[in-house]
Amino acid sequence: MNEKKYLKMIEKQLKCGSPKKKEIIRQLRSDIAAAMQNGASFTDAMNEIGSPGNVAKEFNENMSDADRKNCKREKTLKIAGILFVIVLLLAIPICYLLPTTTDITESENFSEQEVTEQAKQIIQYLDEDDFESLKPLMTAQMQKLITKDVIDDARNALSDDFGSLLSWGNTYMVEVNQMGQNFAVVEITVSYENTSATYRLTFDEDMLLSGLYIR
Amino acid sequence: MIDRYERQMKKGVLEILVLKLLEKEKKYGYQLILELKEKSEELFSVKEGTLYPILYRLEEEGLVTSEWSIPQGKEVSKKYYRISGSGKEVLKDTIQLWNIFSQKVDFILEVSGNE
Repeated sequence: MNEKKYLKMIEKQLKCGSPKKKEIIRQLRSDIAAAMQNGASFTDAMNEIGSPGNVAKEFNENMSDADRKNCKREKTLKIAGILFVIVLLLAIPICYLLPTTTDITESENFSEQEVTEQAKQIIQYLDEDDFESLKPLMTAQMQKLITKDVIDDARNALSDDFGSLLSWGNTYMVEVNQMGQNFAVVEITVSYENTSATYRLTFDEDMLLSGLYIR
Repeated sequence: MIDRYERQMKKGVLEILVLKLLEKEKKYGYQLILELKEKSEELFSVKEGTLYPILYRLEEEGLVTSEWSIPQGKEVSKKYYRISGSGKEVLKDTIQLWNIFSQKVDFILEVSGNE
């Protein structure tokens, strides 16, 4: 065993705060050097001081209450620090997965007017069953999902016959950020001759429809 | 059994002995260990784990002060301990106390032995 390893082993087993540990190790290093200056070999000096376990045990037994408390405090802080890092490491991906919403009027990605116009245009195409015109306004995934049958089923759940569009109702919209992507979500109420329906449309940053919900 | 008594007795007087050894001049830990061993004819062969906590305690109580030496050449820095003014007073009082203590202990032991 060399001096560095010997002192490290003692330091590890000491039950006191870090500054006191450093002080003890520095003094032991000084004693080893003094013994070696007196002609002892490192092994002699080490044997004279004692095995790492015994040296640490003797120090620990004679340590003051304040030093013992410092050790406990440091340990508690260390555990708290580790827990904090774990919580932080868990929180970062959770925050990343959870959507956050912001006021669309302050958005750098979407224009309130453009979102409203695009939403109304899509609703009109749906009312007219004009899926050909609708197609370029949707993401590739939505193009596969949105078919006449799907829309008819959704509409029939509300009414067999909506009738003609009479007026546009309230419009609410927010910007949603999730997993590093930005979306504009708009909810718009439409009054028809026979019923009223609320559409929730989601647009990606290219203003392509990426989500649709009718109720 | 006897070891326990020996340890307790030594513990009780070590602080006085350390203060006494520092009375005339400043000394470093290893030097105190060697002197204690030599002057007590090996009765007080203390190790670092016993001596240093005593020195830390004496320093906390203001009875000794310490300073690290500035090493010359390849020399390793040493921590020197020096007795303070209040340390000298405590030493004086504890020596008196020890004298009374040992006299009374001797007396009781002698009287008890003769009864």
